[in-house]
Amino acid sequence: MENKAVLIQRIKESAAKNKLLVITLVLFGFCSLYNPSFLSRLNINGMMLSTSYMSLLVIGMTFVILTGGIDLSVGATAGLATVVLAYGMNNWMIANDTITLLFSIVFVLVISVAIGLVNGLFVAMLNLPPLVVTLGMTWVVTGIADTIVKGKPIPLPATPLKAFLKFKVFSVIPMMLIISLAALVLFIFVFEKLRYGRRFYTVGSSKYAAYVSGMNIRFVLINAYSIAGLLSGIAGIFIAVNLNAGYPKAANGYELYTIAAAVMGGVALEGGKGKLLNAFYGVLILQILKKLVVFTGLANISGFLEGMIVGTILVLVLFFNSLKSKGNWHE
Amino acid sequence: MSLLEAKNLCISFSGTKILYDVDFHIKEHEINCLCGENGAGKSTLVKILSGVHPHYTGQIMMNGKEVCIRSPHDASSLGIYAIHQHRDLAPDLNAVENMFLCNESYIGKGRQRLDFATMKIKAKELIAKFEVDIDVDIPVQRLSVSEQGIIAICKALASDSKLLLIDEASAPLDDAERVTLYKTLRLLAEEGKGIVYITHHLDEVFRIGNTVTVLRDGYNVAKYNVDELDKAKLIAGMTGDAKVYSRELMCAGEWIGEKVIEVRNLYAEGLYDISLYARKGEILGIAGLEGSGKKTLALNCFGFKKYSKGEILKSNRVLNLKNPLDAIKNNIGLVPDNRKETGLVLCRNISDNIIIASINKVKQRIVLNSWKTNIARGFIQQLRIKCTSPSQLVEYLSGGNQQKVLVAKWIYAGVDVLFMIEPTEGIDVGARADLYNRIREIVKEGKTIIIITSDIDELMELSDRIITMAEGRIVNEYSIEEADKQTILTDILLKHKVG
Amino acid sequence: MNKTRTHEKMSIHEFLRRYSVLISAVVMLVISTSVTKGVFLSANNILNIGERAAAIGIVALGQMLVILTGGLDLSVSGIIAVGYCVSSLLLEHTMIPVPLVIVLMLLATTLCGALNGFFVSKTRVSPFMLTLGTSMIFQSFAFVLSKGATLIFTRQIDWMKSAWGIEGVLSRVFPTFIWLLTSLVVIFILAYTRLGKNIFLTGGKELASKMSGVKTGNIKFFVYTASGFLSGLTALTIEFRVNMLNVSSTEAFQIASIAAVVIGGTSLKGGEGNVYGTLIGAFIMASIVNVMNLTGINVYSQNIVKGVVLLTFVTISFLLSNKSKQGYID
Repeated sequence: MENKAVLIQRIKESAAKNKLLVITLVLFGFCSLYNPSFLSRLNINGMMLSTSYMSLLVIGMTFVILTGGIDLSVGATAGLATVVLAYGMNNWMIANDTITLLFSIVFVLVISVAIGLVNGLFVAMLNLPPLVVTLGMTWVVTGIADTIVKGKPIPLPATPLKAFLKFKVFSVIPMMLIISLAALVLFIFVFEKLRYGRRFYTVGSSKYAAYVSGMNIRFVLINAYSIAGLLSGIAGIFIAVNLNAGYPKAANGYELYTIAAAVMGGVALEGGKGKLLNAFYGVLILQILKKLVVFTGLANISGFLEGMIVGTILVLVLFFNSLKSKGNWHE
Repeated sequence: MSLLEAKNLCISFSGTKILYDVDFHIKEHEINCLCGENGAGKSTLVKILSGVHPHYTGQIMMNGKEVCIRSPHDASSLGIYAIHQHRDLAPDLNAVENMFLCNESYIGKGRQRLDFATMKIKAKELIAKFEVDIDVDIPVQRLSVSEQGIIAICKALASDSKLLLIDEASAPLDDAERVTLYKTLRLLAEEGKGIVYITHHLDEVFRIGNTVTVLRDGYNVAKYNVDELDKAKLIAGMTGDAKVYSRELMCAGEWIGEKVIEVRNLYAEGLYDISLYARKGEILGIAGLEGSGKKTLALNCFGFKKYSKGEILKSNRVLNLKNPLDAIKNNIGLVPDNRKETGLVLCRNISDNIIIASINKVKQRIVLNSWKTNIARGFIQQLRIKCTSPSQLVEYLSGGNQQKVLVAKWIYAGVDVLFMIEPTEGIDVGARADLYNRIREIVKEGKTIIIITSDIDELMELSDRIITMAEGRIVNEYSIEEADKQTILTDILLKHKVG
Repeated sequence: MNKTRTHEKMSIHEFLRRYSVLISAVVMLVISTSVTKGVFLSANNILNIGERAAAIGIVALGQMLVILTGGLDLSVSGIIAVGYCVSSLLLEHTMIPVPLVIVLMLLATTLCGALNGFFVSKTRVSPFMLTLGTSMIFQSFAFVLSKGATLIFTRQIDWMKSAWGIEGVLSRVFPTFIWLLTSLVVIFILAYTRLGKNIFLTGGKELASKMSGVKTGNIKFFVYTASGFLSGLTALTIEFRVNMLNVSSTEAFQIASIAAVVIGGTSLKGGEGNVYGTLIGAFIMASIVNVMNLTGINVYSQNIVKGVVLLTFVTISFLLSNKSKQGYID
C-alpha cells in the first residue's frame, strides 16, 4: 500500500519537473486516438526524419538565444546547404562519386560555418543587433542560393549518403535521427556540465558580469553563431537527402519554427536560461500539432495554411510566455 | 611591502578628461578608503585597476614590477579583484555558479568538467561566515538585495586575490551584515591583502580604514592616515572648502497648512495597514531600509502599483489611480530613484524632458519647438541648471543637473505633492546642498514634498516630520523637534532573521 | 561619467552622422549616373524611380513610426500581400464599386496593423518576434486567399482612368503625390504634436515615459496600426499601375522599408530620427534597385545587394553612434 503511494508521489514529482515531456506524450496519445493513421509506418517515419533536422536547427538556435541573441538565417543557411550539395553532386567530378560526395559535404559545412562566423563577427566585434544582422544575412544567403539555382530546383542524384542516412537501425529508426539524437545528448552534456557550455548562459544572463569576471565574451558569441551555422548546414544536408533536391527555400520558415520550439521549451529570448532538452520537446510538440492540423482536415483548404498555423503558434507561445515573465521594476 | 603603486594615471571618455595625473599607492595589510564627491573619479580609478577601462595612460607597478592592465582578465591574473556596484552577478545563474565565475583556483585550473557538488559545499562555507542562510540553488535574482550583496562579497573572498577593490559593496547590507563585512575585511588585511574601499558613508572610513585617499574633480588631493583625520577635515578635502550644509531652524516651517494628501489603511504588496498624511508646505521624510515598503508606498500613491485595500485621498477626495497619468492629473508627481531608467529619457534633450508630463496632463495638441525651448530656458535659470543649451541631450548632464531637470518637469506640470525617492543618490556634496535649497524654496511656495530615503542625515536636514517604516508597516512618527538619529535607526532596523 | 559637454565644435564623427543621408544620396547619384552612362537621369527613368520611391517611401514612413518607438515591423510585406488579395478578390469576384473596395482594403490592412499593435501594447512580447510571427500569418493568409494565382486589378485601373482622368504620365506621378501628402502628415505629427513627442519619448525610454504620464500602450498601438494602414496605401499605389501581380512579390518591400529608415539616419534603438532622412532613404533604395535593373543584374542577385546595403548602413550608423563601444560597460 505504502509503496504504491510513494510511487505515485514520485511520478507526480517527475511529471512536474518534466512538464513538456508529459505534454508531448499526452499529445502523442491524443493524436493516435484521434486518427489511428498517426501511428502508421509512413507517418512515424516521416516524423522521425523531420525531427532529425529540426532538432539540429534547434540546438544551433539554442546556442544563440542563450547568449541573448537570435539567428534568423538558419533557414536560409540550410537552404543554401541543400543547393550547394545538389550542385556539387551534379557538377563536380573529382576522382569518383564517393570523393565528390565527401568533398561536397565538407564544402557545405565550411560554407555554413562561414556564414555563422560572419554573423558572429558582426554581432561580437561590431556590436550590431543580432536581429538585423541575421535578417540581412538571410537575404544575402537566399540571394546567393537563388543565383546558383536560377529559378529551378537542382535534383540530388542517388548516393550512398542517402542510403546511409535513411538506413534504419533496428529496422525502425533512421540513421539521420540517430545522428541528431547523439548530437542532442552531446550538447545537453555540454550545456549542463562543461565550463564551456555554462559560458553561454553567463553571457546571456549578464554580459557585464561575464566581462568583469574576465570572460572573453566575443569568443563565446562567435562560437554560438558559428555552431548555429554549422548545424544548419548539417540540417540542410539531411533536408536535401529527404527531398532529393536542393533549392533555396527548402527550409523556408524553419527559423520561426525553431524559435517557437525553443521558446516553448523555456529558452528565454533575453538569454541566460532554458534547457536544451525542453527545446527538443518543443520540436516534438510542434510536429504533433502540425499533424493534428492535417488530420482535422484544415490542410485540405490550402497547403499554405501550415504557414499560418506555425505563425499563430509562435505568436501564442510568445504571448503566454510574456504573461509568465516578471515585471521590470521591483524593490 | 608596497602592493600597488600607480603614477600619472590619466583617462578620458569621449574627449572629456576624467582623471588628471592621479597617483595611488597601497601597501599590504592596508585598508585604503577612497573618498570623494560623485564625479571625482573614484569608480573610474577602481575600474582602471580592475581592467574594465583599458585605455588609460600612466604607470602601474605591482610589487615593484611594471604591469599593464588592459582587461579584467589581466587584472585577475595579477591578483586584483573588484566588486562593482550592482551588476556583478549574472541574475539567472545560482549563487554557486556566480561565486566561482571564471575562478580558476576553486574549480580546478584547466578542468572543463564542473564538479557542482564540491562547488556547492565550498560556497556554503563562505556564506556561513555571514551567519545567514541563503538558498544557493535558485537564480540570484530571486534573492533579496542584501543576500545578493553577500554573494558578491563571497565571490570576492573566493577569488584568492592580493588586492581587493570594493566599490560601495556595503550599501545593500543591513547593520549586522555590515559588521561582519568589516570584520572579514580586517581579517583579510591582517592576512596581507590590500583593500581599496570606496564609500559615501564617512563613518565607515573611520571605522575600518587605515588610510584615506581623497579625490576631487579627477585629481588626487591627498592621502591621510585615519588617525590624523576628522570628519570636517575629510569633507573639506572632498569638497574643497569647509562649507557643510545646514538647516536654518530645527523646527517645522510656520507656513504649513492643511492636509493635502492622506493615506488610510492601505494594504498592498509588502505594505500592511499604512496610514499617514502630509500637509501643504510640509516636507515629510520617510525612513526605512530596503524592503521596508517605503518605495512601494510612493509607487502606489503615484498610480504605478496597485493596492488591494485602503484609500488614498487628495485634498479630502478619494482617488482612484489606475496609472501614473491619473496621479499627474491629480497633481501628484514622482522623482524616482533610478533616474536613468525611470525618470529621464536620456536620448532626448532638456526641453523634451521638462514638458513631457505637462503636455500629457493637459492633453495639449500642438507642441512647438520655440515654445518648449522658452519653457526650458526659464527653468534653467530658475533652478540654475548647468548646461550648454536647452537642446542639450540630458545624458550629458551631471547627476545633480539631471535631478534638477526632473524637478523642473514636475514643477512645470503643476504638481502640489512631489514624492522624491533617494533624491541625492549619485550626487556630489556641492550639488546636494544646491538641491536642498531648491527643495526648501519649493515648499515655501506651498508645495508638499515627501522624501523617501535611506540617508537619515538627509531626513534630519530637510524634514518637518519623519515617519519610520519597517517590514511594510509604519513604526513611528516624529516631528523634527523630537526626532533623533539613534531612535530612527533603531526603528527601522528590526531584525527578522533568527540565529 | 556625467561631465557636461563643453565643446560644441563638430568633429568628423558628428559631421558624418548629421549629414550621412545627404552624403549617401550624393554618392548614390554619382555612382548611378556613371554606371548607367547617363541613362539614370533620363526623364522616363526618373519617373520610374519616382514610382518605386513613392511605394517604398509610404511603407517606410510606417516602418519609421514603429522603429521610433523602439520596435520593428517585420510584417509589412505580409500586410501588403493581404491588401493585394483583398482588393483583387473584391474587384474580380464582386461588383462592389471601386471606392468602396479601396476603403475595405485599407480597413483590412489597418486591422492587420491593429492586431500587431494589440499584442505589442498589451503584452510584453518583443515586437520583432511578434511581427515575425504575424508576417508568416499574413503572408500565408494571402496565399490561402489567392490560392497562389495571379491577382488582377484591371477594374481599378479603368476606374482611375474614367472617374479621375488619370492615365499616362499623370498616373505615374500619382503615387508620388500620395507619398508627398502622407509625408506632410507624418512630418506634422512628429514635429508639432503631442502624439509625435510621445512617440519619440516612448522610444527613447519607455519606462521613464510611462512614469511621466505618457500612455505608452496607446502610442505603440497607434504606430503599428498606422504601419498597417500605410502598407495598405502602398499596395494601393502599386495596384493603380499594374494590371497583374503575384502575391510573392511583396518580400522586397520588407527589406526596402527597413533599409530606407536606417539609411535615413533613424536609430534602431528608437527615440531619435527624422522624416526627411527616411524620404531620402526611400529614394536611395529605389535608385539602387533601378540601377541594378538598368545594368542588367539579375533578380536573384539583387536581394544580395539589398542585404549587403542594409548591413553596410547599419554597421556605419552603429560605428558612428556614440554608443558603439562595448555595450556592456555602463
